[in-house]
Amino acid sequence: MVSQLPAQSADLDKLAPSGQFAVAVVSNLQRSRSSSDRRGLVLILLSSDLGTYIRRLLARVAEKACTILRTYLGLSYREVSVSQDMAHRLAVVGRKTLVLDLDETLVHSCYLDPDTHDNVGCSQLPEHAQPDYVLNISIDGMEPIVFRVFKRPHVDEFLDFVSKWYDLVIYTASLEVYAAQVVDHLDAGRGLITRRFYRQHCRASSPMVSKDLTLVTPDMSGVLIIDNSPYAYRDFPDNAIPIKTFIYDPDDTELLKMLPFLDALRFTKDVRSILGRRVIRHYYNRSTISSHH
Amino acid sequence: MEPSACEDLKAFERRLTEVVSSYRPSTFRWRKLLAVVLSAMSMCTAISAWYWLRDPRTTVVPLTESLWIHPVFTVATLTLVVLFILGIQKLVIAPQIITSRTRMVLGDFNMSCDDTGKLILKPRQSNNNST
Repeated sequence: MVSQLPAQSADLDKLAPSGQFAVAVVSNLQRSRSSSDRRGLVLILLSSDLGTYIRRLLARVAEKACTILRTYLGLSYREVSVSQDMAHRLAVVGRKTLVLDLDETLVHSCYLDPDTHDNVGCSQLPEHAQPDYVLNISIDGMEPIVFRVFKRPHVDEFLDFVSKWYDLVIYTASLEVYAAQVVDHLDAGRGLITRRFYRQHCRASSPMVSKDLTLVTPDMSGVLIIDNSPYAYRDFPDNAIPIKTFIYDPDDTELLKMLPFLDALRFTKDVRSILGRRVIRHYYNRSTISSHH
Repeated sequence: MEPSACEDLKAFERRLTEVVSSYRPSTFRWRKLLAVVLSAMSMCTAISAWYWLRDPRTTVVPLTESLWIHPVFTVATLTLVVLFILGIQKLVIAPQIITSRTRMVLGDFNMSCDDTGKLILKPRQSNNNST
């Protein structure tokens, strides 16, 4: 036992850059207690080339795990086949109409007000935020205004699914000249959103505007609206699904959360059977963009 | 509650159940088997990792040679990683995600659902339409 020590020390000298460190390790190993052995081993692992390998490997594994978990949190909705008797019920109750708000529900816009020279809708945007669209809008022949438009996460997937289930309608309090371009980009040539209602179709009681769903369809049993502003649907409380206001959040999953609910809702004869159960909260969420258009 | 509304709630629940169940493993036995396999592999990895770290040669030889000397640890670790990447976790996590998402939306309508998608109706508040 004693005669083997010099060889072991020689090996450790090769690994350790510092003589003092090697001496410390040797003194640890000379003790018979197992706890000292463990501490010594851990020290060696963390400081040697082997430790570097392990740290790099663990970092890579952790990065991969985080990527996978992020994917799960944004887990995509999957097409679920309809059973035979449910398909029959679907044929009986008929296809319904889904009315979608635009600003702060499907997209968020940021622009420079030419009158006040203030940035509107930009206060919560980080410096590095990259818009999905940049639009130049000329209103009433004035100098064009640059709009930076950010899509809500998963909006394309959302529109793909709900367009199979419902007739889609965009109903926005924004000006037509702006909203038409945004909706065209969202549609991306797919022809999903043909019916559109703009500011001129809203009931005006400045500065708040509300939306008249009877313009969309006279049959209230088959129409529902998703809007971040409760005031917009105050005349149709039993036809509304609330959604959080969207202002640049890359981790937003509100649209994905809606999908199972919307999938199931199309099997009702009257949407108010479900939507009429809504919790009435006494709050009004003013939409910045709407009041400026 | 009027009969047509009741019928609508049943149809709604029926479809919700179909959606939630489509994200679940086909049989409970399959899920139990997964739990057993994962537990076994985790145990193997933990035990062999202990022996690997305790081996005095670990501090001397290069990493690849060290892993070669301990094949049980190497195989167990790789198997765990492969199982994870192939989406074993998805079979467990995915149903929970769909259910929790649905509960969040149902919460706005005085409703919830259990893990199978069955509706849980809460007492409906008086609707103040005058607000």
